[in-house]
Amino acid sequence: MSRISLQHIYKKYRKDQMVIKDFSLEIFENEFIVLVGPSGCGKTTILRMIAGLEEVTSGDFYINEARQNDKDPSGRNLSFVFQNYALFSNMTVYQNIEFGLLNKKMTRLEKRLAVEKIAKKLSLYEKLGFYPSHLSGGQRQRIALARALVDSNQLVLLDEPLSNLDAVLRAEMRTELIRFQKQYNVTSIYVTHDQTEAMTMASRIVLLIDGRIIQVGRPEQMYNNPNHLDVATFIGTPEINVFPAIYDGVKMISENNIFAISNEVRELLKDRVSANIYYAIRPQDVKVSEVKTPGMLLGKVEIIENFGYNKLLHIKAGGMMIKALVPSDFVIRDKLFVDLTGKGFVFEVGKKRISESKIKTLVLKGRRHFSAEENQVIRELKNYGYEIVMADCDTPENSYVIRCNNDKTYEIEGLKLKVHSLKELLNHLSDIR
Amino acid sequence: MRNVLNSVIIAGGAAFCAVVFNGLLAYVVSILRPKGNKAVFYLILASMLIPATVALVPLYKNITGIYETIAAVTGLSLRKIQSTFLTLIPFWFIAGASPFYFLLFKSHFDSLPKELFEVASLEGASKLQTFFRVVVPLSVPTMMVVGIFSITATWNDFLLPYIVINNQNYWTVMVKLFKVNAEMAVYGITLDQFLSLLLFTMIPPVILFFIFQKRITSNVATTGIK
Repeated sequence: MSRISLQHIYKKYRKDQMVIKDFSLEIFENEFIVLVGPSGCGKTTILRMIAGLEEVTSGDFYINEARQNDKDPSGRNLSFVFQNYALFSNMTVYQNIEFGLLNKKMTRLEKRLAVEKIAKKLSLYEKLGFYPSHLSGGQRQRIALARALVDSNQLVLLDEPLSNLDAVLRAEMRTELIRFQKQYNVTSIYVTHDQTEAMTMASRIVLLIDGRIIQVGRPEQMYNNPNHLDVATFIGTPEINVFPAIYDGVKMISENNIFAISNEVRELLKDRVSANIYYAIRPQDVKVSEVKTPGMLLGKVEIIENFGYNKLLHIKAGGMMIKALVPSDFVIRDKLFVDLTGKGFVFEVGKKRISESKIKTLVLKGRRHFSAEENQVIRELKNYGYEIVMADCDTPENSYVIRCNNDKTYEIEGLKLKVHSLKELLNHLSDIR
Repeated sequence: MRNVLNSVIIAGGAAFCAVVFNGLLAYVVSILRPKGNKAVFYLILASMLIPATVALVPLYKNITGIYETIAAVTGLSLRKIQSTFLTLIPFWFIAGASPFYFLLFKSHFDSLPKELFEVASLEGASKLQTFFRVVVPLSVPTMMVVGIFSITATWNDFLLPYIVINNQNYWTVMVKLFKVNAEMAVYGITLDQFLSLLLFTMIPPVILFFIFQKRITSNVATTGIK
C-alpha cells in the first residue's frame, strides 16, 4: 500500500535550465497514474527522481508520509521497469528475476519459490533456463516486469515499457499490464508519450508540457473536458481540429470562412465578440453531408484515410483543413458540406479553455477538525482542482457549500444532497462535473 | 627452462594486475563518477605522452621502493629478496599500469547501458557487488584483450628486467636471450642452436593468442545486448 505525495518539485540540470517546474501531485493507493506528454517534457525525469536515480533540486517527496528526498534508491522499496528492459545478458531468465530479490533476507528456497510463482503468472516458467538473448521482445518485457514484481514492492515505476515492441504486441501487453496491476494491487506510475496507452490504462492521467502539469484527471475527463488547448490536441485520436478564429456575434470567422457554431459555444463567447480565439472540434463531432443547410462550409475531400470501421476525411474548405470521421459506408463525393456545430471547445489565445464557470470552490462549514481519512479525501479533492475553503465567511461565486455535521454526514447546500462519507461526496461531485 | 618460468610468473601476475587494477579504476572513472573523475581521467591520458625511456629512472626508483616495502613486510634483506622469486613482483605492477588498458576498459564500460547499474542500485547492490555481479561478467572479452596485451608486452619486455634483475636465476627469457647472443662462445652455442632458441621464445605468446582469440570472438557475439 503506497501513497505518494510530491510537493512543489523543481528540477534543474544546469543553471537556468529548469526541467521540472512546480510539480505537485498526490497519488493514492493502487492508482495507475500515467504521466504523458510530448518527448522532452520531463516525464522520465520525474520518474527517475521518484526512484532516486536523479536528485530533486527543491521540493518534498513523501512515500507514506516518510520523506524520501535523501534516501538511497534501494531504501525506497520500489521497482523500476526500463524502456530497454535492462536485463543482464550474462544471466538466465531465472537469475534475472532473482536479481530483484538481491539483498532480501530470504533463503534460497524461498527465493526459488517466489521466482517460480511470478514466472508462472507471467507465463515465463518454461523459459527460466534461457538467456534473454534467446527470447522475443515481449518475453523480455515480461522478464523485466517479473523482476519488478517479484519482491512485492508496493510501488512500480514504468518508463515507456512498451515503446520497443511492435504494434500488435504492444496492444497485447497493454491489457496484460492492466491485469497485473489489478492482480497485484500495486500503485503504479507509468510514463509514456503515447496518448492511446494513457487513455486505455490510466486511472488518472497527468499531462505534462515543458515540465509543467497542464491537467490532471481521469481519462474521460481529459477527453471531454480539456482545460487547455494542448490537452485537447494531445488527447484523442484522430487529432482534434483547431482553427484560429474570430467570433462576430453570430457566426465564427476563420481563414475567410464563415460558419455556424452550437448555441452552447455562442453562449460562452457572448462577451468575446471579435476577440481572437481558437475553435476546436473533434473529427468525431464534425458532420458531413451532401445537402447544404445554412452555416455549413463547402469543402473538397483531399485525402481519405481508411481505418476499416470508419474513414477519416481531410477536407479542404477555403484555407481550412478539416478532418472528419465518417462511417465506412459513407459515400464520398468530391464536394461536401461540412457542419461544425457539433461539440466544440473554445480556447483563449493563451490556450486556456473558455468554459462556463464550473464549480471550483468548496466551502466546508460546520466542523473545523477532520480525521486523517477525511483529510486525505480533502487532499484528493484539491488534486482534482477544487479550491477548498474552510471558513464561515461569505460564499464565493461558483462554489458549493458543504456542511459537515458532527455525526459524520455531509450536506451539500443547494443540491439537497446528504451523504455519509466524503468519499461518496467526491463521487457525486465528479458526476456533477 | 628456469628463465621461461620466470617470464611466465611475470606475465601471469602482470596480466592479473592489469585486469583487476585497470578494471577497477575504469569502473570508478566511467561508472561511479565521483567528484574529480575527469581530472583523474585526463591525468591518465596525459601520462600517455611520457615516453617510456624518460620514465625509466623514476620507474627504477619506484621499483626499489617496492623492494623496500617487501623487505619491510617480510623482514628480509634486499640481497635476500633478490635471491628469491620476490624479485619479480614489481614487474606485475609495472606492466599492469598502462593508460592504454585503462582506456580499453573505460570505453567498454561507457558502452554498457547505464540502466543496468541503475537496476543494481535500485535492488540495493553495493558498489563492489555491482562490479563483480554485473560489470565483470559483461566485460569478459575486454578482460581477455587486456590480459593478452599485457602478457605479450611483459613477455617481450627487455630493458626493464635487464636493468632491474641482478640475479642470474631470475632473468627473463628476453634477458637470457640477449646474454646468450652476446656471449655465444661462453655458453658454447652455435648460431643454428641460437636461432632455434629464438623460435622457441616466440612460440608461447603465439599459442596463447590463438587460444584466446577464439574466446574473444565468441564472447563478443554473446555480449550483444538487446
